Amino acid sequence: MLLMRTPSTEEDNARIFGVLDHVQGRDVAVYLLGDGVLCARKGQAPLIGGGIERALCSGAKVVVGARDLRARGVPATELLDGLEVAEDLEGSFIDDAMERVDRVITW
Amino acid sequence: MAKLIMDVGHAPFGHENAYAGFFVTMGWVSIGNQGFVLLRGEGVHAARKGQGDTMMEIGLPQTEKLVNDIIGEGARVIAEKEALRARNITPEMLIQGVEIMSSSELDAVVLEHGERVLTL
Amino acid sequence: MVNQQKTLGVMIISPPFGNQYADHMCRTISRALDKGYRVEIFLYGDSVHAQMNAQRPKTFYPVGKVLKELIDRGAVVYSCEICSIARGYISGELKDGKKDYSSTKVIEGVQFTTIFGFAEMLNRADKVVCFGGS
Repeated sequence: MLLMRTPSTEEDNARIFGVLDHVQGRDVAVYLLGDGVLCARKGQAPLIGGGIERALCSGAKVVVGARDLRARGVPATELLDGLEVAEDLEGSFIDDAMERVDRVITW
Repeated sequence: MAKLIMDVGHAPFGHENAYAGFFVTMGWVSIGNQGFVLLRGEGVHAARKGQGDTMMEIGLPQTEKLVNDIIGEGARVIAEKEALRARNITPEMLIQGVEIMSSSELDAVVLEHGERVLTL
Repeated sequence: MVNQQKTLGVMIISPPFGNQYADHMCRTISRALDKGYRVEIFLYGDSVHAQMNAQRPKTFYPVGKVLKELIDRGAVVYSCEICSIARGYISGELKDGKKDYSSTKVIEGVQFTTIFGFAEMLNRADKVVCFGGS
């Protein structure tokens, strides 16, 4: 999954993260790009951070774009535990999307 | 048969997403492919029957006609049960042929058929 | 080495500069090309503004310039014919039996197609990503 925004409502949250909740235990990768990186901060309300927290708890790989974090002034200390921060997020996403996974969803 | 999921979350007609999604789905099924349109959140309004002459009233394509057309071409159009309930839209208010599924069931459709997923 | 025959299909529906989606798309496509994949793009709705010639965004991410560079590197860029006619980029009128897609307003190398052409593009793609839709 490539997520480039934050959920705006509970319905939107369910729409985005429902699929991830369905595939717990399977090989899942979530890439946070653009405003999507804001979902990676800890201590947020469930609407914003809950989906990524659940994904991490279920063993998903979650990758956050370093450039977008720096641009938004979000230091690593604010991030949920277990995330990967990547300078080349787009390259890693392409590797997974084209070679490793059978479903690609972008938001 | 190749499959496409079109996940629509915007109401017509404030955004072009709903009718844009129906147009793409029409192109997809017309060349022999299998198409699924999932109407979630505000997107469920696109499946309301009894829409007026939208071209005359607001100069935009009527999603009721588009839904009828793509169902006629074999696409499945599925509205989210929870979103309908939240908006006080009953099954009788929907275009004939539109299916209703829970949010969880729609997620399962995405996983089963989502070789290609477009989110609008 | 990756399978060079694989194709990434990309759809975008958001315009440049008003948000980051076109930037994300260009950077993602650039990396796909770096890795040897074929890339086909469909500009739909307001995203057709990315095809405008002579964009001068000053400090903003130069979407038009990057899109031309991606075309020069092998990306195939299709633009929605009806969306482009509606926004004044092309006339699309019949000229000598063919639709007239000539335009000085459009970046060289952009091709025009219909929803049916886009469906064919989706069929060719091994994986599909969508920018700015939801």
